[in-house]
Amino acid sequence: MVTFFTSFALMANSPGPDWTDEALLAAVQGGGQEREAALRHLYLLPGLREAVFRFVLENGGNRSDAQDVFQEALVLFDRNLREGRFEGKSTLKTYFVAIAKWHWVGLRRQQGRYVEWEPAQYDGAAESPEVETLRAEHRELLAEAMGHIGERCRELLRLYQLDYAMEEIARKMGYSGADSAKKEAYRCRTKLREHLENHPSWSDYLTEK
Amino acid sequence: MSRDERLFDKIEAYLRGKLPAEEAAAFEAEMSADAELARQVRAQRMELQGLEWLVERDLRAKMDAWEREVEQAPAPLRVSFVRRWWAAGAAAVLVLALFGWWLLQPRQTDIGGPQPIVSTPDSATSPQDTPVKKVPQPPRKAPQKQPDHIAEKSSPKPPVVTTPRPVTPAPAATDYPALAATYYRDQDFMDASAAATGESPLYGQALDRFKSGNYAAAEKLLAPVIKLNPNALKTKELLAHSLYKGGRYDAALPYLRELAASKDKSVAERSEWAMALTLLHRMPGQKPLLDRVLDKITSRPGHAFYRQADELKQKLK
Repeated sequence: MVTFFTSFALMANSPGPDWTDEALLAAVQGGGQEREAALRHLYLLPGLREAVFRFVLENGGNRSDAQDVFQEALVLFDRNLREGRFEGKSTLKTYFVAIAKWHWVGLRRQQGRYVEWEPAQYDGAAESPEVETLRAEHRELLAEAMGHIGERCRELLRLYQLDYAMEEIARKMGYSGADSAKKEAYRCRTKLREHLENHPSWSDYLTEK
Repeated sequence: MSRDERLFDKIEAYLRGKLPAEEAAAFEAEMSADAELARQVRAQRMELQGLEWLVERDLRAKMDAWEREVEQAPAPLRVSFVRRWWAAGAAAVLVLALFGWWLLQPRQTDIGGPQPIVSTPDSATSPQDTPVKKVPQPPRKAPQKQPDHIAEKSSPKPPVVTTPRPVTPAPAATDYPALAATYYRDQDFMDASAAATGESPLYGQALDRFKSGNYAAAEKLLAPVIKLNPNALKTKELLAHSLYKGGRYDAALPYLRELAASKDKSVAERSEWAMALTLLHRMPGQKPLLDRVLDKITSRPGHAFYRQADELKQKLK
């Protein structure tokens, strides 16, 4: 009996069922701290992790692969939602699992493994492998430039990218107001551009392919 | 606002899909006729990818922290979905059985009423004479006040099973990574390390990688050096900061802890402060340890980071 009561108590401590898909979508797209709460909720949502793990384990992966796929899926899920790629043709949970499946199948194919299974297409599919490869190629260049602009600029630009209001950025970062924060964001972007332009391969990246 | 800024804002709006369709189409036409404008748009698109990289980096760090919540959870977050429903079903059967048993009992007339059979796990809730069914509340609404009549001590009523109260998402709290970013200054740590090129021929190369933001490459160069020479303090310090900057806070902590115990006072003090900032990324789980580290720093007014630690303590209160 204690076990049953304990089960109830433990269930009550897990994230509750009060996030509807609409609320999750609005929170992620709205950015700010609501986004973090929504993503945390998904990360800890019972059943979601298990679905991804089960798929990876049943399709040639181990637990470590499954863990990586689960985390990568959240990164892609977050980006897709913020960029408006989710068209609402499924529930968010189904969408998340579809992203994870596509990601795992893509990885297996990159590793030269034959994958018979073809995941059903999901709306707002991840970018093409070419675009993803391009992103990965840019990553090193961007990481290097980001390394030069200082932690404060990085944090400011992160908040900006997450659509925090300038007032909120000013409050968090200690600027006198929205105008100062905006000026500082522009200054940081200029600084970033200067470092990018100093990179020998920058002009190659700008050449239309 | 200068012309450059206006153009910057327009490109930004275009790339973020915030221009009305007609304006976006006009802008695209303008781009196809103006190679320089097209180039600027490509450059700005690339910058936005860089900003997205920052968002991803931060999310990965947060996932590491959430993963620790999963690992540290006593059981509920790890228990499988099927097992949870099985447990819920079994508990429901038990509750029904107890309810049947209660119905068969002779009625008592002199006491306040039956006790709840299954109570909410919220221990802060005071027991009521007549337990009331708790309905899950929609998110972000103030809890509804119970009507007065339910507190009346009237004739006993059948018990109503209270269901586990849904847990609302974590309230918007301090943005710890942002706080850590505010306090982490490269020059506090790296100027001192720059003088250590003599420790290993690879140190200089690693420092270059570090300064260019290629933390994984720096780590790759430094890790074997530490294995060969576990006493290479500054190499270890650079490795710890490479891990920190790469968002690998858990991996950075053991090195910082070792360095904080160093006999070299400046290394020890820097590392204590770096440890505090690393622990900030592990809040709220690591609050007790963070408090201890901050207390240690602020117990010594001559500490190189006394002022910062004291200020941070106030902010965390």
